[in-house]
Amino acid sequence: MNNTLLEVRNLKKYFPITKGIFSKVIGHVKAVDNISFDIKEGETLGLVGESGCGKTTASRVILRLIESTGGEVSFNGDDVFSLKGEKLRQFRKNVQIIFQDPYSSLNPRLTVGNIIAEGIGAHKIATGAKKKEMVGELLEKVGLSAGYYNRYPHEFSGGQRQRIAIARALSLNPRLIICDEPVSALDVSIQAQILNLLAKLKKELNLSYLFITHDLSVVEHVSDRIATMYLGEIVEIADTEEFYSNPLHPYTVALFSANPSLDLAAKRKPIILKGDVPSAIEPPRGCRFHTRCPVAEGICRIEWPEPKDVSQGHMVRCHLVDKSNPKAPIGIS
Amino acid sequence: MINNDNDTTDLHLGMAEEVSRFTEAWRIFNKNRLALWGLVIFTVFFLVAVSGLVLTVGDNPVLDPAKVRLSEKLLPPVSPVDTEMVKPEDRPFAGIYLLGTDDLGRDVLARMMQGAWVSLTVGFVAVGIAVLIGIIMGGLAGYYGNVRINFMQLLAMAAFFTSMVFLISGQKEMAINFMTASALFVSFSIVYYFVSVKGSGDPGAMRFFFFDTVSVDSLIMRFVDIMLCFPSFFLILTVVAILPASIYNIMIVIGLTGWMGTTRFVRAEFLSLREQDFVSAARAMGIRDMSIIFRHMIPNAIAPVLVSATIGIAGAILTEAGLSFLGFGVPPPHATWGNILSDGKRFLFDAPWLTYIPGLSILVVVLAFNLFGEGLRDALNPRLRKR
Repeated sequence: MNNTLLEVRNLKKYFPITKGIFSKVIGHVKAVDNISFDIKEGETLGLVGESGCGKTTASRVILRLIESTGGEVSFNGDDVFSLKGEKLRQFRKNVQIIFQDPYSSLNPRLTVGNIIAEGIGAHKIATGAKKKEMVGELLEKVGLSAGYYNRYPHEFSGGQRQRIAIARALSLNPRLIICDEPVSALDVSIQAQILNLLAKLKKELNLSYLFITHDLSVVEHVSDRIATMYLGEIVEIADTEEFYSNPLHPYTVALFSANPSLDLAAKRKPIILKGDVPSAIEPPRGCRFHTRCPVAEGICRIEWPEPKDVSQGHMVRCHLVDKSNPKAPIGIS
Repeated sequence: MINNDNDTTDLHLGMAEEVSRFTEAWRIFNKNRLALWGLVIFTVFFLVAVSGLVLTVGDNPVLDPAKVRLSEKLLPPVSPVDTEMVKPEDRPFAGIYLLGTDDLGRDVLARMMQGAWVSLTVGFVAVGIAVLIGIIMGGLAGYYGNVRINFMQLLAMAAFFTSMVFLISGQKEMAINFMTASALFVSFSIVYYFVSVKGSGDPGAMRFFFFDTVSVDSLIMRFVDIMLCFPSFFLILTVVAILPASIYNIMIVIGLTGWMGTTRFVRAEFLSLREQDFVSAARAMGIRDMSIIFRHMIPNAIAPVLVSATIGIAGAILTEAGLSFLGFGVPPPHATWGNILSDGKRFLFDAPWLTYIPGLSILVVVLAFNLFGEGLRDALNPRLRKR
């Protein structure tokens, strides 16, 4: 349980902005800027943040679907970015992804069976009847009938398609699954089904998840630890319980206040953040959140906050949080 | 965690009715009357062309397109043969000239049927060549478009194409020179690759020859733009004037000047498909590039290509007819619709059927292909499907 499976250190992804016929680089979109986190074996790390903050880019870089600009990712001790050939194929087997939109993540021209069997065939895990049998087992594992082998994706509903996508991800027997907003495109009743399925599979197969979402009510249920991202960097990481009971970063607090609650007793006044997310091309100097932070002070505009470990496993990037007395800055909570 | 039971209930209720893609496409196609007529005419044309091939070949064919009977010239359609003047072995099938005779007394029906096979093969082979080149070029531009070509590779390619040009125009020596140069550049590249990429050696001054130039995408698409700048019919005329006249040369030349549209289609489809999640998923599973291209991208990109190919066949038939009409096409004893039309124009007032029959045939077949293509486009368009 305590082995670190995935270690991300100072990961960067800058997309160049080019201009003119010679594609001269005139700037960079800093989609992911210096993020670091660990995922232990059997653990779920929730990654929350608003649209465009770099969550998805981070996941794609970790999977090596896009090249990183800098930083290191190690999976099970191997440096992911230097993997080649057979080792890279092993890594691909071990890390899988589930996408947000189940309508575009399944090839419309292939049958469900072929979709799920593709990886099994490519990695020579099984062939022929054995392969078909494995696919049937996978379909049943995700709560679908094995008889759907010859059906096409367009015959299924969103929730069922997401189950097919999960079956495909499981087909290579991975250790880590990156779930990129797996339930955002589904309606609420189906969301619960898919989340329960993911939880069940995690227990059965000792999986780890990197669970990317913008939905705080979802992330609370599935995560062991949660990280908040803002404008390409992680501003707070904590265990789920700590994260919900004692959020420290003003941005996290604001996110919570925006999340509708059924608890009528807790009359929280929503914190309305002013303005838009600043451009990731030229992020603000100092603390990246200071342009919208309701409690920003002078230092926030000048100096970039270093990550502070306020308690066991609770990191926050904010000048105003006192290390000896970890509380959210006055005026925000 | 949320309670874990009940998570597989109600899964089988939302199952859509099983409708295959083909059935669905056929349903939409079937609604389009004109397209259906296009398909019917296409089928008839196909049968006529195939029987035309079967019935007009050999030493003593059923329908002899080359048999000259000077006593029977310029007979109107449905004329019976003059049994006194024509020997029994020279008589047309069933003793009747169904579509009349031309100025040399040749049976127009036989000639039309022989010409139909020419049109059919020219259409299919030329478009086949064009589509093949189009898919390869468009696929390269769409999938590997971001890869940059270095200077040495550019030189090698330029030398190769120059050599090809010399080869076609018959200057063997120059062709060999440029081919050698190209091989030299390629081997230079291979050496460089092993020194700098595989090995740890410093390529030193060699690096100068390997700076990145344009991307694959720019190279291919600008080439497409250049090719599209030429009025293709005149380009074909020029090439045909240089090459010896033969049906195969015409097919190849029409094919080589008609691939640009397909390339653009395929590139556009590939660009959008490359960003689709199912392609990312396949890459994340470690599926090889070739497998991704052939299993995931081409099947999803093929529909617009098929449509443009159908319409392209009509264009190729028309181009071939035009070339034959101008006398650049298939050499004379062999009949094509174009040269029947061309021969007939001298007798436009005396024997109008010599002009009208091939002319109307070309019109009807080309129209049929266009209508069929348009129907196919609608049928394969997912947005028109019933949800």
